Amino acid sequence: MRKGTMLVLTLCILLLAVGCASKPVEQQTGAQKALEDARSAEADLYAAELYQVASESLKAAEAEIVTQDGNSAFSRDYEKAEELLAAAQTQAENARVSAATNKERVRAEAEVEQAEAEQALETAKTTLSKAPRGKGTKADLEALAGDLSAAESALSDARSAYANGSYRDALNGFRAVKEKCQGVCSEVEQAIQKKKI
Amino acid sequence: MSRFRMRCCRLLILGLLLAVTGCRQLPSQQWEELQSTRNELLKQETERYLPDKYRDFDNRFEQFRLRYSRQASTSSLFREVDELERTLEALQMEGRVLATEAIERRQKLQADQREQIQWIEESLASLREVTFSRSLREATSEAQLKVAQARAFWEQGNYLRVESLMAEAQAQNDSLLAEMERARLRYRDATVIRQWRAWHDETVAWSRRNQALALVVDKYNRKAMLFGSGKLIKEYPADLGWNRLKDKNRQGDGATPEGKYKVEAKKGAAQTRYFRALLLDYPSPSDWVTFRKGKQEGWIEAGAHIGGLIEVHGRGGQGRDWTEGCIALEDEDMAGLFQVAYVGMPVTIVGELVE
Repeated sequence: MRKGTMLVLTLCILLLAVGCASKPVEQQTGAQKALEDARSAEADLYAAELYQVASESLKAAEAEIVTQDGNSAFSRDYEKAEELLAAAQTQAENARVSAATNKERVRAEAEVEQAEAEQALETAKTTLSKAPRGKGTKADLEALAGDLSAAESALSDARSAYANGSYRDALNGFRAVKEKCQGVCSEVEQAIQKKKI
Repeated sequence: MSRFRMRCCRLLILGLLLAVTGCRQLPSQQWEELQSTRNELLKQETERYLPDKYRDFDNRFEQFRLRYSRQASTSSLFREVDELERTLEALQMEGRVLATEAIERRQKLQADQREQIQWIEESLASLREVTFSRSLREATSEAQLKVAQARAFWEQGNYLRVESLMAEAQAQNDSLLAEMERARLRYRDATVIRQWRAWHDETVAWSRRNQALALVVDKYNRKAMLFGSGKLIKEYPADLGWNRLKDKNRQGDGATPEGKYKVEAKKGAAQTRYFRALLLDYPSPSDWVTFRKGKQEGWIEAGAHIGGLIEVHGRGGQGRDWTEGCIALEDEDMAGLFQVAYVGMPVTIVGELVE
C-alpha cells in the first residue's frame, strides 16, 4: 500500500512539473500575423505610434516566452506572455484600422489639392497668355513660362505618386505646384502693372 | 518504512530540489534588459536612421535568441551561462550605443536640414532673379518645387524623405551655379580683360584728342560713363539685356553687344517708346565676322539673324536687366545725355573694367 502511494505521489509530481505550462504558440502566430497585416496596410507610415506600440508588445512577449523557457518545468508560467501577445494582437489590429483611416484621409486631402493645383496651373497659363508682350516684359514672361513648365512636370510627378498610393508625397507635391502657380500669377500681374506705368 | 524506501524518498526529494532550483540559472533579468534596449531601438526608428548598423545588431540579437532558447532547453547542469552573460553584456552595450547614435542622428538631421533648406531656398531665389532664359528658369523652378516639398516633409518630421529630396535639389542648384559660373569665365580671362581695357583707353584717348564727348558702358557694373575731352564727366546707372553677362551673338539672345560703336541716329520723344533713344551702329563689321564664323562652326543656329536696333534709351532705373540688349537709363539721365549726344559719338561697350 505504502509503496503504491509513493509511486502515485511521484507520478503526480512529475506530471505537475512537465504537463502544466505550455508555450502559447498559437497566440504568438496570431500576434505576428496581425503585425504583418498592419505593416502591409502601411501602419508604420500612417499609424506609426500605434504600430510601434504593437511591435514593442510582441517583442516583449517573445522575450517573456524565452525567459519562461529558461525556467524549470515546474515553475514555468506563460501567463504574462499570453497577456502581452493578446495586447500585441489587439494593438496591431488597431494600428491596421487606424492606418486605413489615416491613409484615406490623406488620400482625400491629396485629391482636393490635386484639383486645386490643376486649376491653379490652368489659371496661371491663361493669365500668362493674356499678359501684354513688349520689350520690357518679354524676358519676364518667357521666364515665367519656364516656371509653368516646371510646375507641369511636378504636377505629373505628383499624379504618379497618387496613382501609386504614395498619398503623402502626392499631397505635398500638389501643394507645392499650387503655390508655384499662384506665385506666377502674382508676378504676371506685377509685370502688367509695370507695363502700364 | 524500509531503508530502501527511505533512500528512494530522499533521492526523489533531492532530485526534485535540483530540478526546481537548477544548478545553472539563465540570466533572465539581463535578457529582459536587452529586450528593453531593443525596444528603445525600435522607438528611435534606428532601422530607418542607421539601417546597416541596426541590421548587424538585429542579426546578432536573433542569433543570441536562438542560443538562449537552446540553452533554456538544456539541462541546468550543462548550461553555458557564463558565455551567455558575456554575450548579453556585449549586446546590451552595443544596443545602448546604437540607440544614442540614432537619437543623435535624428536630431542632427533635423538641425542640419533646417539650415540646408533655408540656404538653398535663398540660393535658388537669387538664381531666379538672374536666370531669364526659359530653360534655366525651368531648372530653377524644378529645384524650388523640390525644396518646397522637402520643407513640407521636414515640418512633418519625415527627415529621411527630406534627405532624398534635398539631394536632388542640391544637385540642381549646383548645376545652375556651375552654369552661371561658366557665363562668368570670360570675366576672368586675361586676354579679354586686356581687350576691354584697351577699348576703354582708346575711347578716352579719342575723346581727349578730339575734345569731344564719348560714352563707355561697363556691363558687369551696370554703368555708363560720359567722357568729355578725356575726363569723366558723369556716370549713369544702366539696365542692360536680360542675358547681360554674355556678348551678343544673334537676335533674341538677350545680350548687350561688346565693342566700339557710334551713335547712328537720335530719336526724340515722338520716335521712340522709351522716352529718348540713341541708335547705335550695331552690328559692326567685326560683329558680322563673328556671326558668320558662329554659323560656320555651328554654335549659332542656321536660321538665326544677327539682330539690330541696339540703342541707349530711357525707361531705365528698374534695377534689373530687362532689355533685349539695349542700354536703358533713367529718363532724367537720358534727357541730359540726349541733349549733348551727337551722331557719330563713340559708344564703347565692355564687359568689365578691372584695375
